[in-house]
Amino acid sequence: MKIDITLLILATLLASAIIAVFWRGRWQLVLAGFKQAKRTFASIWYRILLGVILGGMIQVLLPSSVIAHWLGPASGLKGVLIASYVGLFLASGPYVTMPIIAAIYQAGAGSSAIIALMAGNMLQVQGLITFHIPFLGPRLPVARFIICLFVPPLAGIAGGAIFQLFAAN
Amino acid sequence: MNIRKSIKGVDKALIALAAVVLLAAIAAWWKGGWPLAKEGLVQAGKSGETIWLRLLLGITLSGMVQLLIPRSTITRWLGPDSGFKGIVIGSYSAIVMSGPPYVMLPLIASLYGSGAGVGPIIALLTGEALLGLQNLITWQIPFLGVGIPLSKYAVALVVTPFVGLAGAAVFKLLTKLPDMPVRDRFASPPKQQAADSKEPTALSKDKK
Repeated sequence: MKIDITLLILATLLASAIIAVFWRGRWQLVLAGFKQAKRTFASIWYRILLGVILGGMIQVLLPSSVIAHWLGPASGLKGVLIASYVGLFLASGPYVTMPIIAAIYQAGAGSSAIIALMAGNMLQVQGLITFHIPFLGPRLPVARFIICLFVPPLAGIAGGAIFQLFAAN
Repeated sequence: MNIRKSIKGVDKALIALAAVVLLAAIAAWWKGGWPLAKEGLVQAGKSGETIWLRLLLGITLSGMVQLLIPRSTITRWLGPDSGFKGIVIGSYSAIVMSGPPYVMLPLIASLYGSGAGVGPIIALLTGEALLGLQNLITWQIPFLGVGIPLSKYAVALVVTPFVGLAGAAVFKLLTKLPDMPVRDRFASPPKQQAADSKEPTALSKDKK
């Protein structure tokens, strides 16, 4: 097992959260937190497994050169726009989309395209039709959707620039 | 892990996902025979090896965070009369306010029905999609490392209030669009229904 910065950050955050929960409600509340995590894990582990297998298949089905061509760092604004609006057709939770996005990233997509792809997730038409409109009526979700159409490309371009700054330092 | 109990809860989305995985495996086999399908599984194994511990930590962390910040606190912040600052509160309360849509939408609808403004609600919906801490620590960091998710997060922190402001302006422009009688046609989940029935609906709010 490779200990990297991501793992260290997560472990530190978890240790801090456990201390805070203990401070608030002693071991009883800490135990409740672990039980909550267990419930979450029990309900999604098989989805994660399927999502990870799907990510692996996508990696072998879509050659790196194709992904690099459409979404690679050299694809520029075209890649960001493609990645932004792929989200319209996604219809899954993070347990499926994240393994796929990670697979696309590993296959050579650029940081801007990946950030646009992640932000584009909020444009899922299925979520709009299944949850937002039934609960809030059409006007408010449609108004939000119209504005959100502009967000993924913007997030991709600006987020990519910030990531480059991170990488340079 | 009670496997039998987990299998019992199989839903349509899971069946659809399994079908897509099967199709992808068949496509890999069709394209390159067993070696390519096996290579796909090997790639999946490599991803799994990288993320399993991160996921475990992330999911446990989100369980703890849910205990530390109850949703009722945020509901109070976003209540009626939150006014213009409600957009900012809506945007950033979404950082700690996350959950599956069948939990969040009834909650957000009840806030909207009880008088929260359009801007704060749009900001809250957008913030929930872009700024949810649970999403960041449970999914994005384990799969992509720290750099990309935090870069996206930094942009989202700035963008979300503007989406609330601009969305409220677009909402005013859409006044001619008819709204549907929300809770007459679509039943809320049982737990929320009783609370919802006491509050004005999104429809009645739009009519005003």
